[in-house]
Amino acid sequence: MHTDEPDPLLLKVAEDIADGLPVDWSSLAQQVEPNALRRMRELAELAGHFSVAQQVAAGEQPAADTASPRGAATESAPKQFAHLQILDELGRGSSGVVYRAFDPLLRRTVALKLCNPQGDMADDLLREAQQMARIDHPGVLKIHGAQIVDGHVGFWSDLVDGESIAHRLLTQRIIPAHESVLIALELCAALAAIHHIGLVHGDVKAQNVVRDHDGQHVLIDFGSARTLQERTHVSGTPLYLAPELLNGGQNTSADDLYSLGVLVFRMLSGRYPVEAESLAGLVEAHAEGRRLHLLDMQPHIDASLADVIERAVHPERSRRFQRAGEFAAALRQCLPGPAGMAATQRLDGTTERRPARLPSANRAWIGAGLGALLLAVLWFVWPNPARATHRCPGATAANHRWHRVSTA
Amino acid sequence: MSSGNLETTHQLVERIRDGDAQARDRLIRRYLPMLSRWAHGRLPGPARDLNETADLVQLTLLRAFQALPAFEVQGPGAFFAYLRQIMSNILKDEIRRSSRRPGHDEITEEVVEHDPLPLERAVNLETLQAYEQALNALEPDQREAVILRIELGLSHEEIARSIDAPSANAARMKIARALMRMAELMNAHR
Repeated sequence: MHTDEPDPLLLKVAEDIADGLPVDWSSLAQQVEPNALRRMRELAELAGHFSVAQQVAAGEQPAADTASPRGAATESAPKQFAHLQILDELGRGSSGVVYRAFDPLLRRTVALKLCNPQGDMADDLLREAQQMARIDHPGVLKIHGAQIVDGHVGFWSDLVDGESIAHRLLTQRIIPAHESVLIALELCAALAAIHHIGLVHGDVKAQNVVRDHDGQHVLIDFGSARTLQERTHVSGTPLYLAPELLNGGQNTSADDLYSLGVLVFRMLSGRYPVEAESLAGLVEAHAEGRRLHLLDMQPHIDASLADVIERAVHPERSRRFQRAGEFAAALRQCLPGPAGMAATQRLDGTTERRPARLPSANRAWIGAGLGALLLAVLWFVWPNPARATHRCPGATAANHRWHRVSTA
Repeated sequence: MSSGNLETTHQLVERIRDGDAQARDRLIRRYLPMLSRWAHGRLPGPARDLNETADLVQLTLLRAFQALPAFEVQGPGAFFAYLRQIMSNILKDEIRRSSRRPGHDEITEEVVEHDPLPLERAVNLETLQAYEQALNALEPDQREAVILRIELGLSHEEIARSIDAPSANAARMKIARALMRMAELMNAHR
């Protein structure tokens, strides 16, 4: 960031803070450099706390929403849930609101998700917590607790301090092939753990993969996760959905792998295998077989890797990978040299057979062991309508944004 | 001040240096309310119970005027930052002093560390330190504008007068650009 040529979005945020206006942090997350946005948010939060201090000093009752930092929340926020002290709002989605909270018993900062009081999502939120609690894998967000207080469901988990792939792709456009494969292997392992216990994630995409400080890629957002038996409708983001799901149906574990294939396709090329600017256009493009191919766009990519990814996103379901281990095994064949060996050693054999519970001393968990003084955290945790949007390549206006869909 | 017949803080400081006692009163009247507000929100409980805000403000002004001959006027808007710095130093001494009063279990530095200012209870220390560092790296008028807006909630118009900016919007943009610079500096510090 250069102050002589300021990022106009960041400048707008700064102006809003200067004006004491609320800032929609979640919608900015994919558009502004994350560290600068994080510091700007800290400044906004400080401004909120100063504001409260001033009101107290003036003998006024602080406004309800200023208990939360000015600009961080747009409406009254709770201060406490169970034993957790709520610090500020991180984002909100259809099923609930995510807060940064402090656990005074364990002296660490966590992400707390509370059901939306305006909605009727308490059961869904509890189910989400229960699904997450069943998985213990370094590539999956770890839940620490859940409680029902006065009829409100809430659960808390690691607070991921890192950058999503979506954000990274905004600045980098593509991710080198070798690294893309390693990321894909990590995600295969995470999905294998999820599928192993009969769950389907349902919304694998660039926004939902965050790299923590240790370099581990973590799959977040289990708002769409269901068991196969529970699934009655499609969830996900259209550009990542297998074509047969666009007109309805039920996501399966194989569909998570299709979405992962789309994600890797995007990491390698900056594009989606099938692109359109509307849902109808996407259905049509699939029907007409209008699709992009990796080697056409990135001819230098190893042909065997291109083949693996093309298979992952093949229009015919039966031609795709059916299991995460199968996908991982194919990817591993594309890794040359010592790095390939390392990755193989790390994941070899365990992807297919990795038990759902996988304690690993070598995998650093985000947040675990962090004390209260390490409050420098990030927010990329759960779904949020604004955050879960994606603008199609070529689209220029806000009305071309995609939203997560739930197709009956 | 830039508008009407009001004097700028810079002019007042110069007059005080020339021995103008009334200028001193006018400067006190200008800054006393702001200092009081600033102090009150930051005093820890024990100190606030002792109703020391007024004393703290008086002491700050006294020290500020004692040091005024050496105070380098760095621009039109730097005086509140100067007062704020003096008050912060006094406040730190005050916290240590109040922590040693009866009612505290132990008289140690640890007590001081675990009895943070009200603001520090709400904001983590690392962020506050990064904020202070970034603030100190700003140009004096930017620093003043940020303090007046962010810490005291003054209007852009009031700030424009204080820092001698041509308009409220000019002050607003100065604050916005200062915040961007601070975000950049806070990144660099961590």
